[in-house]
Amino acid sequence: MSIADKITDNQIWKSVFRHPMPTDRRNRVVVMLTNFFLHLHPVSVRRQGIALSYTWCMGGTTFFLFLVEVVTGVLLMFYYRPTLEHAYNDILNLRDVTTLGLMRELHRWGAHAMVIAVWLHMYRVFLTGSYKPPREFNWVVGTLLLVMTLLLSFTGYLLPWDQLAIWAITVGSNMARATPGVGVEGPGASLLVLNGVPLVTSFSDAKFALLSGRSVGEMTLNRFYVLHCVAIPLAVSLLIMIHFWRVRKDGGISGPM
Amino acid sequence: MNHHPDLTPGVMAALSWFYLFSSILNACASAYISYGELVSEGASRDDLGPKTISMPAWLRTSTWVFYGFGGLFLLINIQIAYWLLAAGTVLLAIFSTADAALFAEHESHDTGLKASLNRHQPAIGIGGPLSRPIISAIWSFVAMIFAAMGMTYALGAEYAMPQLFRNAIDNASGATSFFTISTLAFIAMIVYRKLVANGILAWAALNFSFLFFGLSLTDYDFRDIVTKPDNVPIIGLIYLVAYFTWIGLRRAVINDARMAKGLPNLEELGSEKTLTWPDLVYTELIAVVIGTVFLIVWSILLQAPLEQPASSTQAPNPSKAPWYFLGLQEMLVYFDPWMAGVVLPTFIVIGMMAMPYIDTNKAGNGYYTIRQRMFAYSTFQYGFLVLWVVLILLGTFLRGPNWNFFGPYEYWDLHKLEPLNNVNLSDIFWIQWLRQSRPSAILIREAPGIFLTMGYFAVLPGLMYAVFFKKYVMESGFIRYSVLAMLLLFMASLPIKMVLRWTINLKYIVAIPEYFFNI
Repeated sequence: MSIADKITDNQIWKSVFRHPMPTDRRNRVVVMLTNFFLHLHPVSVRRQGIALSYTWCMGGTTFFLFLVEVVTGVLLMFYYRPTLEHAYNDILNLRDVTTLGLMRELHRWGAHAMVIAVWLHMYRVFLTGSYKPPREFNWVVGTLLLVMTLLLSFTGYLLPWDQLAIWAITVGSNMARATPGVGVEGPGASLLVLNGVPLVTSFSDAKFALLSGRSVGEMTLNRFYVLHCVAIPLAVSLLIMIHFWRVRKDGGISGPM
Repeated sequence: MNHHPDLTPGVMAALSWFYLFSSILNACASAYISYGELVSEGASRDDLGPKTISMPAWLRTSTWVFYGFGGLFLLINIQIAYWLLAAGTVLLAIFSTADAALFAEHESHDTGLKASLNRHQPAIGIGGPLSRPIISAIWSFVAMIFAAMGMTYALGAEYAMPQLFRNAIDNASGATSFFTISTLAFIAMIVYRKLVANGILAWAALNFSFLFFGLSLTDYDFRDIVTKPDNVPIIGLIYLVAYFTWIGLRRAVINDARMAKGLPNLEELGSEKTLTWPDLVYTELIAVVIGTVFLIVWSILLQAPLEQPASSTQAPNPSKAPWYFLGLQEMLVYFDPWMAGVVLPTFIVIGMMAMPYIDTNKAGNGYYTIRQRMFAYSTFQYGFLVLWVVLILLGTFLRGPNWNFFGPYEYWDLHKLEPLNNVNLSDIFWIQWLRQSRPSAILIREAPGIFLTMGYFAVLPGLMYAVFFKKYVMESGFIRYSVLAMLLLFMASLPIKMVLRWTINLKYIVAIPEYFFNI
């Protein structure tokens, strides 16, 4: 009895993997049906559908990068404290003294790469016309995921609390001030007056809601931290589930109709 | 103005490796052309004789020896590694071309020229077979030039890009020329797509970009901007977008030519089923391994940026949004924040979502094609490549303090003054044309602009319908057309405002600063 047999020929192993190694056709089919992770995929796919020259592998890369961001992000959360007192120094220590401080590099470069991968994935889906029926709705879900990816990256940009961070967020959030109707410098906001009291002020407009303050401050850091680590990832996870499920339900990887 | 040295030992070492890398790529291309089995996408290998061209064993061995020891010495002595790799590259470049020529000579002596895998089998629609010796010689030559440039730096010669060139490029570049050339290049790419789809032109373009980068990196100011840690991914973005644009274009050209001949397109060729395990699962595993290694190497080589602690009183100049929003920030030059930062981005997102519902063309579903969906393809691609990516490049690399334009080799001078003599449409209308002061009533004052804007959104859809979209409205209905027309008009508003700014210095078409309503 070889060592491999000893490892696999017992009740524990067999309770986890309910079939032998997928070396023959039957087990290669069965493995796709009985493994939780693999059952995302169909049992068989069109050969052209999985060709790299067709898919560019960018949707999968995006998902891979999302997982990298989750893992490195959780590790960073163990260390980083989102307060004015600690935020910058925690990042400084991640760079200079912390074991596995490389997580920050992985997280940041992974985030940039994820933005690029999302764009390229959508680019491919467009160029192959894969958004056309019956995949219209999944394209809409994908667009929402694009927006979510950008928001994730944007909210994360603030957390190091250095000059790069707060001024990039300041530039970005200044746009909110100009939102028509609900931004204090937006068209129409000055018309919203009730009994002589303006409804939209710099204490109640869209920018205030985004930053929870009139400018980027500690409350902004807290708000962006929660958005970045909890709120948006939850929304993204839900959308990813729908996205993957619909890929299967709409006929798998696209191909000539 | 020269504040910093253009060339330092570190830069020269980096450049010598950069050119060696470019040289290796070209030597490999030369060897591939010379020895490879050149069967293009969709070309048949049935009824073809066997391939007799192959890399001689001694060359294969010696290349591996040079590259193997070169790789090994990377860990021991980087100088020796460099020269080993360079020697291997030169060897490969010279002998693969010589072999290609030899085979061509043998073949010309062979009277019964049978179709065989020795000859390049081009894809349908891409053009004729390429000549192995000539193309191989070209890339060998390029490889030798890059190798020589790299060795020059490795030996310590200090060659920088001539100041004359830099000044000429700086003077010729501007937001106007950058955007206009991008637009023209895009149109040329679509029109001459058969030429672009050919690998030779694309490879030449890649080599030109290497040369441009290599030369430009000798300039301190260029280097300073390009090597900012957060800007490095954008360099990657340029190459990735260019590569994938080319792949999509090439496959579309091939598919269009195939379908015109009644042949199945490339995607239909591989429609048989294959098991997910192992074919897809293993591909994913390999992709994950490559992705992990790539990220770890990137993270070790390049530290994430961390600047001075945040200070709400000291605004850096320029203050820039994260790089993926710089296209929007660039739009601020032409629009007020409510348009550039809120309305137009909203329309981009809504427009993307609306796309599958307004594009009722049933052709081109699940395969690359341009001819069957020319309008959708080129409109989207123009939006992505020029109005999004090119604007990001402009905003990242060419916009300096006070959001002034700076040439690629120009020092970011805080005190650079650019005359801002922009005028509103109401100034032009009342003061320049009617020679009277502007009326005080806002609506009358801005009547020309309001009239023009309403005309743009009310009259143009009708005109577009009459000229281009009659068939579309018949097939897809009035609602879809209305949405499409609005989205197109909003998309076109950016280039229109750009042109108006460049030609007549127009600031706002409608300017009602009293209510923050400026268009």
